Amino acid sequence: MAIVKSIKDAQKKLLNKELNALDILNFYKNKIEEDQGKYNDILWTSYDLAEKQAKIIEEKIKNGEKLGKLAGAVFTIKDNILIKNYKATAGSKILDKYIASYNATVIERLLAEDAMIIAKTNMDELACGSTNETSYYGVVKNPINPDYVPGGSSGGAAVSVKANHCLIALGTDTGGSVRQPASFCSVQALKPSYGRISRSGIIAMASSFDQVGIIAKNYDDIFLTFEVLNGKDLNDLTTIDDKFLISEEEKLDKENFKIAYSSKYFELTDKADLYFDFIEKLKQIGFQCDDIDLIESDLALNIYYILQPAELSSNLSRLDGIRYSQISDSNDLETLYLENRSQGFGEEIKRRIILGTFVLSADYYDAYYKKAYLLREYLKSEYEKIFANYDLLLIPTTPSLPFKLNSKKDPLTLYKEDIFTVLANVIGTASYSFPIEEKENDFTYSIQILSPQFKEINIYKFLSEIHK
Amino acid sequence: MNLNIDYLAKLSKLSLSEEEEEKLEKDLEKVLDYMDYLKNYKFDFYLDLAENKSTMGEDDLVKKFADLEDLKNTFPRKNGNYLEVPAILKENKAYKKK
Repeated sequence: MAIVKSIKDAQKKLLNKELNALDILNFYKNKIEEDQGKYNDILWTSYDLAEKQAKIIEEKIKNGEKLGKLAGAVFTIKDNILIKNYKATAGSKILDKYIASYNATVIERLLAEDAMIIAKTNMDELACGSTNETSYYGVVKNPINPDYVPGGSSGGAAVSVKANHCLIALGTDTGGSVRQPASFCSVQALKPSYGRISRSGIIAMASSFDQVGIIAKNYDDIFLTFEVLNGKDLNDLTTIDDKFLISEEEKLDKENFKIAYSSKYFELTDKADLYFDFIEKLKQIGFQCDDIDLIESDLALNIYYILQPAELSSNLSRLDGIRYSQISDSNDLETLYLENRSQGFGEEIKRRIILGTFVLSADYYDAYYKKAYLLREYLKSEYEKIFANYDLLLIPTTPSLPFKLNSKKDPLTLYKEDIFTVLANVIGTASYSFPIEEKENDFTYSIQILSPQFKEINIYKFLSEIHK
Repeated sequence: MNLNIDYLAKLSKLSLSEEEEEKLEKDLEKVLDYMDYLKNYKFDFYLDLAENKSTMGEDDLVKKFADLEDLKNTFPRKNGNYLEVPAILKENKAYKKK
């Protein structure tokens, strides 16, 4: 059992003096120390930064000042998010010596609301992978059963929540990287709409897909964090002016709230019955749910695995050894590039760089990159039509439960793990994943709730309703 | 399809061992076979890639970096305020003044 159940619980205990901020921090610190190396979710700790925040909270309580929205909440941060003066390797050898020179916007926003940041988490190298087996700093293990993968690429983030090394974790999600590991570790996650949260200070993977995601054990904590993080940032011009705010007043009107699902998608999982049961339950409590015909999930996956490596190969060209971190000490420029990149990148990154370079090369640009780009626009318009009639769309998070470490080696098989998650990134909508089974310490299947772009409020209202 | 790994590696500034090249070729052929799926889709609409600005905001703003020292600390090799890189232009003795 964790010392606090939620942000609200932590703040109640802080204000009635049952606990002070250091008690809360020390609980997680002890858990991390106790479990040292057991799951390999934590790369580096930032206890001094967290203690500084704890003192600010204590001062505020002493002086009767209003606490920040996230006071009492302990966070871990995925290692591709910059915290000034801390290492930011993104799980890659090529950034092994890099120390961030500024804070990501999300870090500034967390600190301004009194969050305590305790550690940075392990991840698949440069956010590429769905098992967390590609990190230069070793594989991450699933706390439910350490013989199994935790999912990826935010594997360390999901594990840190499950193993009580924090209350809430920030990850990033380019094609499912917070939702899939959250599902494998039986916790919950939100990937907001593209344009909601600033990407300033996030080590870019595929810029038109990347979005910061939030992992926790309950939706209240996730949406409170989302409220703090989202909104316009001049350092990321894709962020929109409109800000998501939690609104308790607006009631959900079940008669005018329409949910779509696809039985075809449910049947692609190992346990379709579970999903149909879930829909039945929703109908019983008065929701209107329609089985609709969706475009085959393979289309989104194909688009994703062309555009994502293309953007990645271009983004990662900056990792050349000249800036950030250096491996080779050659005095010949060409040799310096080659040695840094060949020794610094792992197998999966090299594969994606080559694939991305291929789909962008003159002879194949039209057949792959351009075609995928146009199909992405087509897919967006098709889903706009669906969302014109529906408030939410329910699809599975993963086709199966977690598998054993080292059991899946073929890249294509691993890419197909993302079959249900890439859709939200390809069309830019929000998606929330949570388990649909209640099991204390066993693997569970999860479902995704997709809302139209910038309509996270639909997800929030729906979750509030079903948790009544 | 001609998957010229050697050439692609050169474009990507990667030097790969023969073993790496062979494995990459096998892996990527499988991935590209799967992508044949896209051949099912024919287009009946035209979209100018350069015209699609759905993700573009306003113009960039220039801001001064808060602390130059912090930035300089991220230089793997430096010389005063300069980021040091290997020389590209080499001294050519033929043009040297006598």
